[in-house]
Amino acid sequence: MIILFSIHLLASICLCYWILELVPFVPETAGGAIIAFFFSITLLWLICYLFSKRYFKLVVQIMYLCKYFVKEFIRSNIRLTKEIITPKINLHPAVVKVPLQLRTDVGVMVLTNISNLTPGTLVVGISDDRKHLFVHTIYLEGGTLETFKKYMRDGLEKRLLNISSLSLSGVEIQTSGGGDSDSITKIKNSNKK
Amino acid sequence: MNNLTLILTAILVLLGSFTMLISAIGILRLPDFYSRLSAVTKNSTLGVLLIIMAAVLYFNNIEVMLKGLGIMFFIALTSPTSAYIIAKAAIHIKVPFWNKTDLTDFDNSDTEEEEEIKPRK
Repeated sequence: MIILFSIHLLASICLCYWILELVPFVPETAGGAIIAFFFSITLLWLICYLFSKRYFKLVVQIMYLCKYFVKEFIRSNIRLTKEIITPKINLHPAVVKVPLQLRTDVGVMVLTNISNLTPGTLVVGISDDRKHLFVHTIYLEGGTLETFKKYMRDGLEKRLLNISSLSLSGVEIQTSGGGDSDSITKIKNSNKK
Repeated sequence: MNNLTLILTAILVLLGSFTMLISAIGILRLPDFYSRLSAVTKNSTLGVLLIIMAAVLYFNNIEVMLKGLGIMFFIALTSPTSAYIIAKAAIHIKVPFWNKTDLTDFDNSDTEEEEEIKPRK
């Protein structure tokens, strides 16, 4: 899937360059380049529907993640600005131990990077067995620790799980979705045989 | 050069510098090391992104746009990572929390406190 994605990106860049060189009515400015790039990337994405439908769905999920990320990023900035400008500070900070469902390295990295930019949260550490994430939050959503865990699970992690279940192959889906270390060792042993 | 693009770049530069100013005030006003760190990462990242977008809009070139996209991508990638590393180092040397912080979940779990430094082979 990663190879397919890089081929898609390179081909769309080449198509964008070709459009800018040959089509006369496209202006050679930044706006023209951006419009040509988006046109070529959607065209190639629609062509991809003929070859593999899984890649088509994967791009849809990545677009959902980007939309969620931009929305949360702007919301966090507005909220912090309000908090700093108004004279009275009312924060409810807490350190929450959030259980992880993602198992892959890249998934955990993307989760920490995005949740450092969403409102109030700052990832402080990962436990040694990689099953929990220590998150320092400024605003405790809903007042208790359980509601904050539910907010993290339903907001960011669900979207990342959708992406990782589409981008991995069949055996690894069970490890990423399961969550027991016993099942992972069983699958590894069955692979060796 | 249009009047409209000039007004838009002025608005973007003002918004970016305003968010940077807010993050600088937030360092002084917030009570705790960790809350200060979170304020700095979010607001200063958005400020830098807005100023680079203003530069791209002002020059309106393909070369400037490619360089600006590179800078935006790497800043959005590295600033949360560095914030995570600083927070982990602060936990490691036991920087104190604010006195209103809810630490029940953190005290019960002793995996983070007992980090052993293993010798390399």
